[in-house]
Amino acid sequence: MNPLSKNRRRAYLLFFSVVFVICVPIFILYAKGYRFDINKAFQISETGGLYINTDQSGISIYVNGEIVRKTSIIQKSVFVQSLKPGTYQISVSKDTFQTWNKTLKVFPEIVTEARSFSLKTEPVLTEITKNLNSGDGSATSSSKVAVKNPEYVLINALFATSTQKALKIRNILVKNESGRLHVFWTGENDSIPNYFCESSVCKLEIIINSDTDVTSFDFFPGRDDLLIIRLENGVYVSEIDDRSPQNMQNIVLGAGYDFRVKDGSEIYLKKDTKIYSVVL
Amino acid sequence: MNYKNTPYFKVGRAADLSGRDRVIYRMLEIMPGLLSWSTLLLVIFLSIFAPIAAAYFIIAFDIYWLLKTIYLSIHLRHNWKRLKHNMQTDWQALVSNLKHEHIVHLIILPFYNESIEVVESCLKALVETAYDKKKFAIVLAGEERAGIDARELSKEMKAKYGDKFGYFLTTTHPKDVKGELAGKGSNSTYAIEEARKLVLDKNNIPYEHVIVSVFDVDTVVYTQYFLCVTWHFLTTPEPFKVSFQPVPFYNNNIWQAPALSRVVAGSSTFWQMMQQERPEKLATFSSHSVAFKSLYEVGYWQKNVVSEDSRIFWNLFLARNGDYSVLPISYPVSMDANLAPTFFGTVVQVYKQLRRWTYGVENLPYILFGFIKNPKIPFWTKFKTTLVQIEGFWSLATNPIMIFLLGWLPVILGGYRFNETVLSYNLPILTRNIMIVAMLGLIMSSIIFMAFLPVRPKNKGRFASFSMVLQWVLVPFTIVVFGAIPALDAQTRLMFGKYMGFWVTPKHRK
Repeated sequence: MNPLSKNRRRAYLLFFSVVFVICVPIFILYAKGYRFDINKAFQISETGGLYINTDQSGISIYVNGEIVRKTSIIQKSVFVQSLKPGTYQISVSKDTFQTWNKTLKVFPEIVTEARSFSLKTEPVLTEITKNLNSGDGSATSSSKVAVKNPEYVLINALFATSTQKALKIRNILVKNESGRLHVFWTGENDSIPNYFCESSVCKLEIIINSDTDVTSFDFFPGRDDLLIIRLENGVYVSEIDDRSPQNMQNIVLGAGYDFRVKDGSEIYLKKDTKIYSVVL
Repeated sequence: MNYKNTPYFKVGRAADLSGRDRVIYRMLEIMPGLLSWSTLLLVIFLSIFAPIAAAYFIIAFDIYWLLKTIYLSIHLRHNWKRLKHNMQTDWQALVSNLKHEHIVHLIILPFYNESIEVVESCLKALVETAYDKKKFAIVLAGEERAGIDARELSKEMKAKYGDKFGYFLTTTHPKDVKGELAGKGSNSTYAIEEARKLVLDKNNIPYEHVIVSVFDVDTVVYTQYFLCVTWHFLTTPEPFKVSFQPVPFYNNNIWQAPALSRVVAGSSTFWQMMQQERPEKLATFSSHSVAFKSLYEVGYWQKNVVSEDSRIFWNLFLARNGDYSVLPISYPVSMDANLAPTFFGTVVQVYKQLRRWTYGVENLPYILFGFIKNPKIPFWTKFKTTLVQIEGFWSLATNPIMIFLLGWLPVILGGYRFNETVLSYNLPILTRNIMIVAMLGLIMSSIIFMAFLPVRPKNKGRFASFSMVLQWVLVPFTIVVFGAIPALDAQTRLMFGKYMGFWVTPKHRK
């Protein structure tokens, strides 16, 4: 039996060389977002993409009303490509959670990124009692000596401190100017968060839109794109991203609530003398 | 002057030369490592400063790699068929039609400190070959530096097998000879010269009637090997212008070796099988056969290099002004897969063996220097050979790293602007998908590997067979850790003039 003949090998080599020459530009154009447009007599058109990160599992992500993914423990985000440049309605929802809606523009060859957030419709508030032997924190009978709850004492002390007018995390500076929150990017242009930009046009300041004056604010634990804000009628979480109206979800509704974030990880509410820890 | 008579014909390294020649040779030693490192650094550099260009390059490279994999798989498949055909061929009948009684097989078996079990299995297989053993001249070539045990082993083997062959010679290569690198080349050359004087000349055997087979001592020949070689020797138009290359299987201890070692061994077999269908890219490797006359004319193997098995081919190639080639016989010989008493020991052994093999890059400066110095080699031969050799060493050291490690680099290093492009998002997806398609080829590897496996030993369960299939998922790992990295290691050593010595692979059998 003879080895592969030189002619056959040359034919294979020629064939694969031709395939290579044809495939490389097609694959590069595809990877850049170019697609054949059937509606335009197979013309090549530019497309872009959307990348939505949810941070949560079991959440449904919709683009223009069509579900594109239900997130899981291992995949909490979705990359949708081959989208014609234009405006897209994104919706992220889950039962018993507040819905996040966003209108985002898609640009040619660019992926528009967004990070959603979904708080429970009714966040769980757990009261931290004032005294260890009393459920309501009221004065006990003279026969019992009230033992103060050290956790209450600690958190209460936190509420005794005044809130700051300006906060900064990772080059994101937030200032409260007469009840309006102004968010500034103070870092290098190369590392500016995507919500400051649309396509290649970036701004350095975003204003948080609130119906009433913000009396206090802080960063949401673990996120530098979300702020907890106290308004006249409750405590809310607002995103900084203003590429479309900012999503604002409530932690608690009602007047008289104040909040504090302890160690950048736990949220506490206080109304009158009652203190609550919050599970969102 | 014939090139073989020049002072640089048997140059081992730049330091063996002087003046301008030394500078040129040193630059040629630096070249392969520099080329490989430059490629890898270029990809890193581009990923940082021109991530879009890097992404284009990586996509083009991914496609090139996929098509190359398919192209090589076609060669592998054809050689598989040819190998099966040749193993089923009645070579005895074919040889009987030719005048072959004058042919003498001089079989050189260099050994160092291998066990008696390993040496004996080699000799036993030679006894069992389908050939007139009176036409065999065995040279059991020991090393003085291996000590008294090696000499005892030679004696014992001669006592046991001496009368089974026409000639049986034992030699002991003296240690610490000036100008020699302790290794297989110096031992084999000493042994064959002894055999020339004591066997060929003494018995008036004409040199042109002698076929030399130089075997690693763990080589177990298949029964018709010498018939197959003899047939090729007698039928090829110019038998003194070719070397005869079998396909190395690593079946002797394959059921005992761990998966990692089996995959590396199997990959090495597949590579040789592909090369058998691309003889212009083939140099002699490990155990092979060649006409004594050809070897004698160039003074046998070089004593000052690590890769004497492939260097001898290039010696002959340059000495014959490019008119020399490898004739792939597509018939197997079996050797040992790497196996040490512990798993970690095996891993280290596999790495060191691969580094020694890939140190074959020391041939590149030798070839290119020869091309500069030998004007009798046609330009086109020089051009093609140069491209083939440079591409071979370059791709070995860089391609697996680029495919499996650098494909994601622009995404990591490309910065914010690049990371918001569709290209950035698609690059890892495309690379991953192309890799998955390329990996489908491993199914064929698995089928071919199973087809040539020896019968499963009774003490091995069905899982052992299953593991022989499953093992191929290790390829992305082995191709980098036991392919590209040792190759890069070897090239870097050569680049910095940290020349390697000959490392004898320990032969351990459970």
